[in-house]
Amino acid sequence: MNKYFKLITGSVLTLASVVAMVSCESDTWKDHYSVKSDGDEAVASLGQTIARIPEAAKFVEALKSTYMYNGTKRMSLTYWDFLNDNQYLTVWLPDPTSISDAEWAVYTSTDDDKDHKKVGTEFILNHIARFSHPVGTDTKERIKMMSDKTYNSRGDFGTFDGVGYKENNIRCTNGLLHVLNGRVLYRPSLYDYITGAFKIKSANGVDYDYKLRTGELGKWLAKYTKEELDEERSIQGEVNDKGEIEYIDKVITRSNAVLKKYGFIDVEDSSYIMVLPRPNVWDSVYNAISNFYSYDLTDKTLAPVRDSLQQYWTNIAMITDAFFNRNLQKHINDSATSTQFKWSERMTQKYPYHVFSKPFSEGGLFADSTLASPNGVIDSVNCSNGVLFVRNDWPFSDSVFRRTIKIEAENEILAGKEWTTKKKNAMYKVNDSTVKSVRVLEITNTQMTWTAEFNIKNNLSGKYRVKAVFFRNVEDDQSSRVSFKLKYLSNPVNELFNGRLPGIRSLVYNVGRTEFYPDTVIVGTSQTDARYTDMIFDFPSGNYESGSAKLRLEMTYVKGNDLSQKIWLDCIILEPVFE
Amino acid sequence: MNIFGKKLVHLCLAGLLAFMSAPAFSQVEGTDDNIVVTGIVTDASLGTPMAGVKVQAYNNALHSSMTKGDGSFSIKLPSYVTSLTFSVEGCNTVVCALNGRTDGVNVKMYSDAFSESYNVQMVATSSESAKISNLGADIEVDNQIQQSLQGSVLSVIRSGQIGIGASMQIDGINSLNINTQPLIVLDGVIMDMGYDRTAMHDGYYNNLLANIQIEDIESVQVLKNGYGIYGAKGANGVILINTKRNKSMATKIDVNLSGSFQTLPHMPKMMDASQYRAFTSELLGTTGTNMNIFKFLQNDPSYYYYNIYHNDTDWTKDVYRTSFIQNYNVGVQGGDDIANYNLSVGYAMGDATIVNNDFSRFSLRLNSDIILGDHLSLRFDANYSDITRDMRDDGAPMNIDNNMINSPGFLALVKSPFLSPYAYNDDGQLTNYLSQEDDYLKEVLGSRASLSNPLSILENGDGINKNYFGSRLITLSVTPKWQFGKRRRFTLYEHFSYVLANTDENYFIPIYGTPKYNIDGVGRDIDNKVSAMNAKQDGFNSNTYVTYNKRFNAHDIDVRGGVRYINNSMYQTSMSGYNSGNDKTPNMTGSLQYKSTEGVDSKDISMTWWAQGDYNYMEKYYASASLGVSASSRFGGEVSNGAKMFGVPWGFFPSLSGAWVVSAEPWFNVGVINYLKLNAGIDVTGNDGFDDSASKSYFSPVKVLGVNGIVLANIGNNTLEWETTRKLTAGLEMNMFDNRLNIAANVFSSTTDNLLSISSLSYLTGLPESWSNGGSLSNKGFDASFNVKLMNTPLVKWEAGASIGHYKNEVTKLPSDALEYSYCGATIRTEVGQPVGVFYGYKTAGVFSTDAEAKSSGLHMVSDTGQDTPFVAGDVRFVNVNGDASNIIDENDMTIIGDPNPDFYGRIFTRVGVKNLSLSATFTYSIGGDIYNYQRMLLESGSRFMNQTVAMTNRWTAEGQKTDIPRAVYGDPHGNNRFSDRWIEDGSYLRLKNITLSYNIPIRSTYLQGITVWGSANNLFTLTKYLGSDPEFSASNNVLTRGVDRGLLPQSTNFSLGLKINL
Repeated sequence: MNKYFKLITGSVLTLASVVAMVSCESDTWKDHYSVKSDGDEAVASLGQTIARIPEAAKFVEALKSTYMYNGTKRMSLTYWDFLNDNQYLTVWLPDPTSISDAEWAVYTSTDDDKDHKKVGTEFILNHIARFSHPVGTDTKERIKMMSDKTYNSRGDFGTFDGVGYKENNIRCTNGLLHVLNGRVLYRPSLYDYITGAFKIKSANGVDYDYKLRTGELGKWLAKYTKEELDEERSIQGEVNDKGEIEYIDKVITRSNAVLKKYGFIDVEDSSYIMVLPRPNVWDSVYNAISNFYSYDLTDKTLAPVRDSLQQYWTNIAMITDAFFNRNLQKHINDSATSTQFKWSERMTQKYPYHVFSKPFSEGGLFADSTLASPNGVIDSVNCSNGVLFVRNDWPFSDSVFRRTIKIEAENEILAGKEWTTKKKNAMYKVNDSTVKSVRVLEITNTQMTWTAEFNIKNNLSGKYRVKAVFFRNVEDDQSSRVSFKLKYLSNPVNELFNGRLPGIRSLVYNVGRTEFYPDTVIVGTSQTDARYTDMIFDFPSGNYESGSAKLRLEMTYVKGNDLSQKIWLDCIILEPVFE
Repeated sequence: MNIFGKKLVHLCLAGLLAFMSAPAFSQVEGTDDNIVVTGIVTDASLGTPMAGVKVQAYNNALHSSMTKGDGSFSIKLPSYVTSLTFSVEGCNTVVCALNGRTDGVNVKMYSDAFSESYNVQMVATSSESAKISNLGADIEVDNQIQQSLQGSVLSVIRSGQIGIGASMQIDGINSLNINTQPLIVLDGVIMDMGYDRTAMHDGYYNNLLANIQIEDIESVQVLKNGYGIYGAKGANGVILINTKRNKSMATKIDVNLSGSFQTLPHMPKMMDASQYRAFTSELLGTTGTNMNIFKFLQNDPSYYYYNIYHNDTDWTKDVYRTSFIQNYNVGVQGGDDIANYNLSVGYAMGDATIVNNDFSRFSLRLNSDIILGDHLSLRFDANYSDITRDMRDDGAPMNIDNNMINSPGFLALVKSPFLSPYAYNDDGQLTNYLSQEDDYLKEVLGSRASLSNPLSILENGDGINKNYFGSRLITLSVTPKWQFGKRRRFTLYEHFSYVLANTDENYFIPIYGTPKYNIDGVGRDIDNKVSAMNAKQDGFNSNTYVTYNKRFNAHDIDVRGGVRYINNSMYQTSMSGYNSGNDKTPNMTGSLQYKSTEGVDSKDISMTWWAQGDYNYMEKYYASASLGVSASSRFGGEVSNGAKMFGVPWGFFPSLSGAWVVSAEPWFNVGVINYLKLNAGIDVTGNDGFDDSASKSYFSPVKVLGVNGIVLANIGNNTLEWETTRKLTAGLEMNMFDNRLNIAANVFSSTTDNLLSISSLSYLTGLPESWSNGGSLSNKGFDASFNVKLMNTPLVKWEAGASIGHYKNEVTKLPSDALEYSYCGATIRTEVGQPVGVFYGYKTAGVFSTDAEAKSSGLHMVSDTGQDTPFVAGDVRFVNVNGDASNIIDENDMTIIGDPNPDFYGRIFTRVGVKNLSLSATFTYSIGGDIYNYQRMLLESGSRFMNQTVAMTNRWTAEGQKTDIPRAVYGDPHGNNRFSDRWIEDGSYLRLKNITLSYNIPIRSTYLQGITVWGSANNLFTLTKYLGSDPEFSASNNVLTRGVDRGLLPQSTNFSLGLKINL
């Protein structure tokens, strides 16, 4: 009995001893909830890891001596601090031998850049990206660097922006380190290049200058870049003695009013193709186009801005189709649509602009210059957010900026008391098998002669063919005639021209008692005045986008014998004449 | 009362009369004393004779004697007596078989400092009892049940909230979709524990047992078999809880005072600000953002926002805390030959280890026994308790991506550590104002990733009209007893009880500090939510029965039977509304938007005719039989089993048990064995714990476009019936080595048929699902325990023991191939041949280290739209379980990855007494159960902007890196964090549940009977490999959610000091 008892007692005591000895918890917990520091696990920060690489001394020196910027404000931190901080970054360490001493001296020169901002932006930040970007054999990634430039990481080629690796995927506590065989060249954006902020050579080694060419394209573009205080996002402080709000934290936004409309070539979130004529051609084309943007010399209100308007609209006319967003193309080899392309216009088929078929084929917009097509692309400039194709010509038609102007008669507030009071009654709808619900101006005047003034908006200087579209009630009259003339009222140029219709009977087609038919009258087909037989009127000045100078047409309309007949005026059309 | 109820009442009365009119049994009693037995009783520790020990024929007080000064005794006995009992104050009772001996019956008595060796019961059924000690920090009985009965009961404490109770299970799992927890019978009253009800606050359960002071509880008994009398409610086992009653005429006053200090809970180690900033700034790169400037990544100290985003906050320090619990109780016992009473009043209050979560309880109990006449006596018990709580949501939200996170505890883990709980002013100085919700990802993700300030939920949600819970439990019990018949062998009892549980709860999410959020079907830009609930649960319980007992020489008969009528009703109204406008007016008002009201009005009536008979012959052969015949308003009118009587269906639930005290046989002469009792039984029991209106078709009111109407809300299944469990049990009780070793063991095998399941209905019905019977499962297992007196000297008493429980559950039949249930991102599957509710997911084999490795595996995913996505370096390598040649990882590769059922569970205890000093320790353990660590899945997913554990610093970040944690990718497009074995962990543990040191100050005077000073510690340490905070938890009472760790407040270590004064 004692034997059994001792056995049991011993077992229980042993168990109790084991339990007592194990008075702490399993290591499983500690092991799991710990930062692994053995094997290939990261133990040092990016800065510390880079500092351990002897060849990286120059880079480290730059890191330690270069201060960071928050917008335009210099921080108290260097990039060395940044790489030893706790934000997750990926660094592509450049090979120090890839940059010459002379280049380095330029970078680190403090003549114009005492804070080494250039080194920070163009060298250091050009090798650092936020987030994790490991390199594997299947890596195909476009990586946005902290310099805002985007480069291709190709694991299958073992390159980063074409530069090979010495070593990669070195884990650090705050990121990844890749060591390059060379360095990643800072590449300007199209905007940087055109505005002259950063010069690089073209593929053919040419320095093109668009900054100060005629029209000062680059300088002009830069003028529209502005920095504004974003009040909503800024933090307001107290109001000072002057009654001004002092901001504790200012959020400044930068935008370019022109590029906002034509393409954000000043930012790096997209890729563009830009087409410009070579500078000399640019000058000649600019001079030609600027003639269409002549404003009234005698209008004193226009005097301060006349030249600016001419420069602005000429530049706009020239670059309207110069921007192509590569990210938005359907298939760029089939066709390229400029940033001004709008599907709504395309669908109406009224304005088949901004679309260029087979742009890379011979004779195409982006095609290289050949003997057969000497006016093609002669050079290119690779920028960070796209490529600039330099052509030997300006490849666009004037039709891009010279558009038909249509004045809807019923929309006009007509001068003259009698019409002012009757304009509501003059509205009428016409139903036709081809033209539905056309709103027109009904001329109900019982006098034989009727006169009205129409405002012309946005006409350019230069030649237009003037037309008017009339309707008449065919059952009213078989023989009456309409006489029509237009008078250009803009001071001091005051030209008179007349147009007379060849005969109202020519408008009569298959007559139905209740049907109405439209027809177009070409003004100036005068049978009596030889000056206007060419049907073209040359406007000496324009008022394009100029609210201060409105041009007016005066129309005098003469009825036939039957004063009771009703005539309707739909619109007056000014078609540019291309020579 | 409806027609059904009236029928049951009539039936009850008719049956009672029939029972009472039964012919009386013969009342002849033998007094044939023809043997004299002698022996000596000695003190087991001293070896000296003991005088004054009462010697008595086992179960027969007519034959007794007393030991003399030399310890000898002589007792005359009838020849059929086979055993004697020896008892004396201060010692444990000893049962000694005579084995034909008339002299030399020598017995050793052990101090009552040891556990009782004998469970003296004259029945064939088996049970295990535990006396409840109030030397400890517990304020409710659940912990004590675990510490005393783990093994017989699988008890799992739900969380670290005070009084939250335990989820319990006896002998396996007997159901799929309805309650699997045992029936709680408090002083003979079947309690409606509301296992299927949930609180408004996530992670809580209204534990009615918390309303009972632990000082009022005398004992807890777990029935192993023979509980057929509980009819259709007993299939999950029965736990009897008995409160204290006065047993002597001397007035006793017990005063208990205790205070308990709770340490901070054990939380996973989260990333610090530096680590999280690195993680976030990496994860941002996977959102698709092209931004380079982020406020929180500006590291210039002069930057305006620098201070806001450059803190190193351990949010757990502000949300979790050490806490203190106090418990006071005064109990008075006394009486005379007319009336006896036990009156106690107590107050307990304590803070949980999470801020602004607390608990307080006032309790008052009176148990009285009054003799009204020669034949008539009355038992009157009354209890009133009032619990109030401040509370908040607890645990990780079940659907992390669609729900706003309102649990401060979880927010404390996931909130960015570089933020501050308090706001900075314009001068960059930290203020006392709480920070708003975070917005550091606003530029990239809008408000989608915004997390609340947990302190705001704690502080701005504080108040009784905000986040408050109140529970009042009133129980009244009147039990007249009338003895009649010759020698009063018949006794008629009427046990009438009334239970009222009144609960109200307010829920409030503040506006300040919480982001706007969307609620499906309600609206966008929701500011906050206000809810209120009031519930009244009352139950009438009448048990009318007659008992009869008689001894015919060697034959002892005890018969009883009657009818039990239970009428439970539940009225609940809850209201919700949104956008309270400010945090000062949290009440339900008309100005709230999107208001809705819900309610429950249910009544549940059941009746059980029951009879039970116990017989023993010579205290050697025992037999018990019982029968319960139950009807319930829950049953359909056309059930297939049972019988239809009086217009309603009845289920029959018989039990039959037998026991044999082998050691009492004359031929039994095994020296080392002092006592050996074998028992076996068969029970047929039912489970009616399903929706009380499921068998009925009914309509619900609905308001559409301002017009009131009704819609069909349920299509009743009139064949719906109880689940039937048939259980075979066998066991033994054995004492050895002069009663120094006690062993008890039970084996069981059960099958449950007619499993209740929820099946989908045709869309033509307009209803989603309905209840039906179908399917079977089985349970096989055992439980065993031993207790050994290791040392028994006059100075030192040392005992130790252990218990073990085991079951194997298997589904044997289902209405469909498999049933799947989604919970917290897990697929929980029930299929034939497997246990109920196993984890069903993907298997993994590490993480692809390189692109080449991923490519060579060929593994890929194909989306619903046909998009082919190959796995790449840093992704998890999922196992192509189905081996398809195309190497597609999809749902066909899911397999069983874990089983939440433990292989073994139990307890180990030891107790050492040195004079007046006593040291006891209890360990609990569970081995082999798997846990789905849902919280860790969220904390290590690397796919959301939430703070992660430090383990995530070892995530894959670079080609060639060897790690088992995949890369961090926002939104987890490759499903690296899908439900897989990455999140299944071994939940085995061994926990020092309690260690108590007590000292009885040797003071005794006329007014002071004793003082005990004690100190104890709970959960002092836990040995486990589990990576969650606590391997012991219960997310809900649903059997299918077992083993899913939502990160409820973990149990803490607590240290208690107490004083017990006996006057």
